[in-house]
Amino acid sequence: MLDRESTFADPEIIKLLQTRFIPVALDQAWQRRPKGAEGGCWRRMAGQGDRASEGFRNTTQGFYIAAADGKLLAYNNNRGPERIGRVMNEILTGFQPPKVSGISRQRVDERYNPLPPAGGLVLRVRAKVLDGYEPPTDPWRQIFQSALSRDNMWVSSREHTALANGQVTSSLAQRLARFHLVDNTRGEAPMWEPAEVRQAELMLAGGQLRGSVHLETANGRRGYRAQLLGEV
Amino acid sequence: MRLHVWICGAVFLQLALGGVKLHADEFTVARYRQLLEELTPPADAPWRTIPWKISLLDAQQAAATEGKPIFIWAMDGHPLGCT
Repeated sequence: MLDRESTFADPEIIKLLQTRFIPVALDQAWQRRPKGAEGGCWRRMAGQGDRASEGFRNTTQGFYIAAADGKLLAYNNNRGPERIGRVMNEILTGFQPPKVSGISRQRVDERYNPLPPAGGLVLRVRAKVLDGYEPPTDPWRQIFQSALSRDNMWVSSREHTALANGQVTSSLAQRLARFHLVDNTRGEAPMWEPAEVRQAELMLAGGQLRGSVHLETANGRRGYRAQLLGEV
Repeated sequence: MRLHVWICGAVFLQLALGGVKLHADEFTVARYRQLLEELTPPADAPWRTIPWKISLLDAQQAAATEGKPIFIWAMDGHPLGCT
């Protein structure tokens, strides 16, 4: 979220990415694990950076610039359009494209390439800080308190059919609570364990969803109660 | 079969969350509609004008063909739709 509203909102960086680079966005936690060419390509590139010293056991997140032959040209995990723009221009100044071919895809590791359920739905999930904080002066905090997070929720064919028939399955309500009623406005958020979903009720009547949740950890340090309202 | 396909396209779930601590009153339809508007992202957000690829191999192949460097945005959670 921070990058979408800062680095990738900068006109110069956008123009460079549109015209001078091949931009790609990855979930590093998935990208570093699969067997085959897709994961191997990432491990080769990221393995030359600062984040790979522990054998890919920890995160490799950040901004990378690499050549088509796999050579890492730059790595940076600091936010800020000025810094990233400067690095991009420095790389372009001396860049000599290597003479290589495209890597063939070979076999796809299906463990890391899940597909949305056939006959199901993909719901867009957004979250936003509404209020409750003092107005910040720090520009990064301003982004955190104003920007939207993005996520997706998959609904199975069975759950989809139930919704169309005016019913909400318990599986849908539980998954909604555990994995999507989280605060991901500052990055990846901790999900709720099954026992932490103290209550998750969601009813559908006349196209209107109404319900409530009570989410709380065992030690009581994290949790909330909320009302739910929606439309189908 | 045709009716079933139409339902797949037409069923659309919109859900908003009202935190009880900050909004302890009854969660009204008017408040729901207000939140829904607040939570709807602009279609013309600048980052969406960037031609992001989502496969590193696709990016490598394009880089090899077009003679450009690859810019990789790698995050914990997919940066285009999980954070």
